[in-house]
Amino acid sequence: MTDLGELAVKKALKLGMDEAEAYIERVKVISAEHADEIQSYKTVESLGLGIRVAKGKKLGLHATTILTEKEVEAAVEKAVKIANVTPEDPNWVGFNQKFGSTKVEGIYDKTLTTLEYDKIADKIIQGINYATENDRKVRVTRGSLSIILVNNAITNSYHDTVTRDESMVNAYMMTKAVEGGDSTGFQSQQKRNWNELDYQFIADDAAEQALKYVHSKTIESTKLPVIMKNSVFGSIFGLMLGSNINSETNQKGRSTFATKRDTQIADERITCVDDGLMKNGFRTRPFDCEGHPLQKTPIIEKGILKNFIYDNYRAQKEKVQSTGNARRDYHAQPVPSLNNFILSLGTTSLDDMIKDTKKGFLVERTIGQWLSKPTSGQLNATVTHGYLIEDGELTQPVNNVIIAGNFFDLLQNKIDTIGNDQYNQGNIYTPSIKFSEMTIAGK
Amino acid sequence: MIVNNSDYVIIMTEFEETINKLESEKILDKALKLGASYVDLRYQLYNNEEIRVENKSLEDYKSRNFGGLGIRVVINNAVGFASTSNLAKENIDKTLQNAIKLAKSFESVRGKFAEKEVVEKKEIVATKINPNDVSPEEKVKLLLETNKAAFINDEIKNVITVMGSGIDNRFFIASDGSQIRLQVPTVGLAQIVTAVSNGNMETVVNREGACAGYEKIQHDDWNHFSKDLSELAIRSAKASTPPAGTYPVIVDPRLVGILTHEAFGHAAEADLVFTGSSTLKDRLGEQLASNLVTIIDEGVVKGGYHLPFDDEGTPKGKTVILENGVLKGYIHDRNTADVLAVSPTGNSRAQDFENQPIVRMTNTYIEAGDHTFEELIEGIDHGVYIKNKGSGGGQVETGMGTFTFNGGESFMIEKGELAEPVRGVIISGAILDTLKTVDGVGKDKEIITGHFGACGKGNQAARVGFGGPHIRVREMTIGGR
Repeated sequence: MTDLGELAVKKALKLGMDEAEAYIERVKVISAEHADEIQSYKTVESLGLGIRVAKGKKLGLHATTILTEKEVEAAVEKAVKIANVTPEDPNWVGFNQKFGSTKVEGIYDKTLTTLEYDKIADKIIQGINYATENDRKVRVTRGSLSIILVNNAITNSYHDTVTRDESMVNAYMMTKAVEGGDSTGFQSQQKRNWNELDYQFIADDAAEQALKYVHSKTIESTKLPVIMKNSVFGSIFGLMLGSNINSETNQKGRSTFATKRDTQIADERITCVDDGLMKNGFRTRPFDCEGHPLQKTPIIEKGILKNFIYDNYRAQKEKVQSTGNARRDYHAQPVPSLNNFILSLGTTSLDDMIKDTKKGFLVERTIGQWLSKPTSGQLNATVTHGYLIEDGELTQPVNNVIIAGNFFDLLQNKIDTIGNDQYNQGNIYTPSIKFSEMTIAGK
Repeated sequence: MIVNNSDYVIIMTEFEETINKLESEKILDKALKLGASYVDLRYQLYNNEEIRVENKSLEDYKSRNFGGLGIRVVINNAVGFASTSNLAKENIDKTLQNAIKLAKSFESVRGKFAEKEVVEKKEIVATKINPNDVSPEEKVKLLLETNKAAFINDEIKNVITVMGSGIDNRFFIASDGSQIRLQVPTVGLAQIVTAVSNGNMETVVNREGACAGYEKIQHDDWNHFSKDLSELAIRSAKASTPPAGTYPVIVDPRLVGILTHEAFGHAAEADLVFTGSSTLKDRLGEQLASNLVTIIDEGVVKGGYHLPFDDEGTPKGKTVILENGVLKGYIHDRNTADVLAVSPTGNSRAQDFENQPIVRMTNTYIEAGDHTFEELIEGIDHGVYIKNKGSGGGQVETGMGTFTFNGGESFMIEKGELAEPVRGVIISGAILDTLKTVDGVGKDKEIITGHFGACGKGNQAARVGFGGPHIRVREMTIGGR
């Protein structure tokens, strides 16, 4: 496998390129979809090679999944052909020359390579059974368990091949109440290791949520303090900040943060880091997709914007060091992408946050939050699972209202309480949070 | 529309050569000998290219050949599936063994399939110009010109222009004797513009594409497309947002497509219905929408994505989901059709060879009615005209019956007339309520598809077409800010 990468690089140089880089990805997936029984069960083995070449400041990329020597040579020729006809990129300096491997733990679970299909099926069926424990009147309507093993090999004309292995275990479960009304429950986990997967947690949460929202209805438009549960806040936090702290969007004038380094952009209780080294972290790796070692980068410290994230190309453009954030598919150019984005915890539990709220709105699940605009900060999400809070108690389940606000304003001026309950939505690690006011659009 | 086109000889040759080398009948036979009651193979070769220009310079030019084989077997009514991109004989054999082992490792009834006709067909969507035959220089030049045209004044801060093209070759062969070869091209151009006006930053996106060759790109006026989007970005940055609340609205044809897709289409997917995750369970024959609303899912339709057959080899004809507001049927794969003892509707689709087909929409639209736009608007005292351009898409939670989508540039309606523009708004509604309040359906039906943008379900993306005429909805929730 790695031989093909070296072959590709050599071939590119032979064809007159000044530099070349081969990126090989080998993925094995075992995945089952289920409702209240397993519906389908599959395994996927895929290979991909992306060859990037540079002649002076002219670049080309071609990728293929057909990994024979003949096809790899043809792929190099196609990349060379593209490089020869594209205009120069004045910002191009060269491929990464700083290779290195950081010691990290808990990102590759070897036991997954020998796990039998029926053992995995048993685990899923056990999970499904957890949901209906304690006589809960719910049905499991959808879910999946995926085990993903990824092996990458990176070679460029400055450095020999480096390889890395990663594993991921992802599961979700959706339930529906079987009496009383249309109501669903959902929970998911994204982990690195088999023994981190907690089906009892997933099933309990998904089942209890469906039961809790049976009598939900929409409410009148209003403004209220809003508590976002950690899983909801994680996806919003990652979406609204992720692109704004990315060197790519900043260099291109697509971010409002470009000129705000070392200024106060958030409440002083907000501190977050991009930590590529965290034990068991969902995106912890020894090096990034260009072979550059990973690190821990402070992003916001006590509300002050400290750093952006960089890959090799964007770092060279600003004459700074890469932060080890290059990420790519084998068929695409690397771009800066968050490793583990971690918001520091507060001290208050979600239960206490609710108890301390005289009148407010708890948001447990949303759809369409991804339609929000990170450039303007305009946040919108349609709430499918929300609860009115009155005198510290959850009183009325709510469905089908839209919450809205400006995220940057919320982060700077409207943080009431930060929770102590961490959850990872993929590579985004956040607690629950309470904002002093948001618009709620309803009837 | 469908002919054997010599332009594609080279790709077809590579594709056909691989098919011949597979000796697929032998694989089928082996699967049956190993105990499978049914087996199908899907070999796919997808060639695509994407070129991106940002702020007047070329950022990225990439191309890809993506191909491999998926094997699906049924043993004791359980479905096992395995795929590989390594087509060496011994590896294909290992892949088959894996599929069989998987099918034997769990109990299921999802492998009971409704009968369907045996199909032997080869279809190619005709194109005049294969995008792969157009020189990279010409494509880059067009993109640079389009991108530059967007900088109409200094309020435009960032412009990204992307051209994409792809040719999807799919081969399907099953133990029931069906054998299908399908080749579908797509091309498209997308532009994302960020403008700053009065200190407000706004980003808008627009895309145009078709199930066609490069002639579509040559035919359209991209200079106009580009300037028009920049003007929209500036207007959006300046515009206000209507106060949060419920309004009567008119929805434009392209957005009606998204509305139909999100607010009803997904809920009619039979797999979701049977597992209990759709609110449309046990509702057949009920009046679920106003009698003005008829919703169709159709495989081959002008402007749409070309899907004469699904990935189980079932012909995709015209499926009536709602007729005059009454729920007539769901969209099915072979298994869900078997459960209801109906014919499969040709809606079993897989993103690619690495995924099993699941129930998906094809081209889903609302049938035209008989209102003119003037008739629709004159009945609204205070409302919103929501347009698609600049919109980002939508999402649905079929179990709760809640959907949401994002409109593009819109206009207030005051006393039956269009008034000031407002920013793209977020809209939400309830599946079983919204279509009941449709009280006007226009004559002007439009259906579109494209290279960019796809529908997502169960971690699989699928190209779809959608559309309809202008419609008037009495009540929709609009989120403020």
